[in-house]
Amino acid sequence: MRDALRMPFRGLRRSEPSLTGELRTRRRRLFGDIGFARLVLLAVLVVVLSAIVHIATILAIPHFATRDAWSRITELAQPVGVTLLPRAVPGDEVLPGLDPAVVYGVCTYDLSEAPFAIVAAMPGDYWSIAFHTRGGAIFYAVNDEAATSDRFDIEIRNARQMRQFRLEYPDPDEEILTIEAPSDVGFALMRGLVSAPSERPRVEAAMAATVCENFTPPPPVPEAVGPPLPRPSPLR
Amino acid sequence: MPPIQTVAVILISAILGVGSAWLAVVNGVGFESIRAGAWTAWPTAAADGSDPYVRARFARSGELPISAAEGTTFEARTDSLGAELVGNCDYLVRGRTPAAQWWTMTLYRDEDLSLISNPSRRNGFNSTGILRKPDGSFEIVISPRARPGNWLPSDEHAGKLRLVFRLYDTPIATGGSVADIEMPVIERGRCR
Repeated sequence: MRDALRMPFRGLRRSEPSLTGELRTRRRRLFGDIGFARLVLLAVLVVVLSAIVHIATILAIPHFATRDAWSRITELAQPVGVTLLPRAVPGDEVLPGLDPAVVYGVCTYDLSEAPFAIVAAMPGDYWSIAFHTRGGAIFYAVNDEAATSDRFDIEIRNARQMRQFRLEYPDPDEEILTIEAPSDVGFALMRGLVSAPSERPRVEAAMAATVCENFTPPPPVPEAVGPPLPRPSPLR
Repeated sequence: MPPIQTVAVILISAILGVGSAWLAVVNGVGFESIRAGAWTAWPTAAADGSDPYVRARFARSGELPISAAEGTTFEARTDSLGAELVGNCDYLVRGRTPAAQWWTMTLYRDEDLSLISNPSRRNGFNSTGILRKPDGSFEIVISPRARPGNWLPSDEHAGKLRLVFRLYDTPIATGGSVADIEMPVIERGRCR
């Protein structure tokens, strides 16, 4: 009985070396023979690969962000004219981190057909306008201190319209600020500071009165240089 | 290379790479940040070709950046000693402000930059509406309970807080020296 019980163990023990040997070769086939040098190599590989993944992720985030400022603004803004962002109140904010002391106005523009003009009367206190591209960059911004009068008169053109404008108007009207946009679509964001709660209606009214529209530039006025030359007669 | 090693290397690298990117964006890491005490600003956030970390951060949060020509935004997520700002503690924000035509100081929840609702409907102060001391300095008390003076209400259940200090029309962003900006200090008071 004892022998009978011991027999299988004895048998197992006898076959053990070959079994572990087989396991070891299988393990070696799967995991490789991890020596120190190998471990260092793998660690270096992990560091390099994670660095690549890290950089790729950081660079990819702006391209895959669906709730960035651009998406939210274009969702809110009317296609024509100025849109006032709703006042930021707790629990009802259209964008994160809006300043509750500022009235925001947005004009989206598309220059593919015609240049765009923004005419705004400034409400007195701090006032600024910034032009944003699709990618989130601001390519032009100006505030009330930099403005020469108490109103903004801005014309925005793409590169082609700008070239044409420079050709047609070598001496442009200096009252109008003319800026070149790097791309056809974007938005202008205006900020008007509300210094006291009683000022809010005035700032909001001034913001709402902003004129934002595409316009057809008037044909250039021909320069009068002396009397007009006599046209050659077709009969002669 | 044996298959398990390959798989392990790829998996670990993916987790480390994406995880570290996430942490960097959430914690506001950036090469181009300005730090002054507890305050951090990203003056190039709106610039074309700015720091990719800053761009990723703004794309994820959906905040509107402000250009240097308009002003600068400073954020504090900790007090001046480095402890996180939380809703169940009182804070005293005191000192002077750097040169700016206007400034506003607004309190938000840290997680999503949302405003904290309160019966007095106050979410911040601005340069004209604040009570000042005779020497021109000011003190703001952030607390969930009503306080005399410049009381900025918080909420015991709001969790982590973020204090945003916006300077409109300031020379800081347009080439002023960073080292000598005088920023308000944030001191922690009693916690519940």
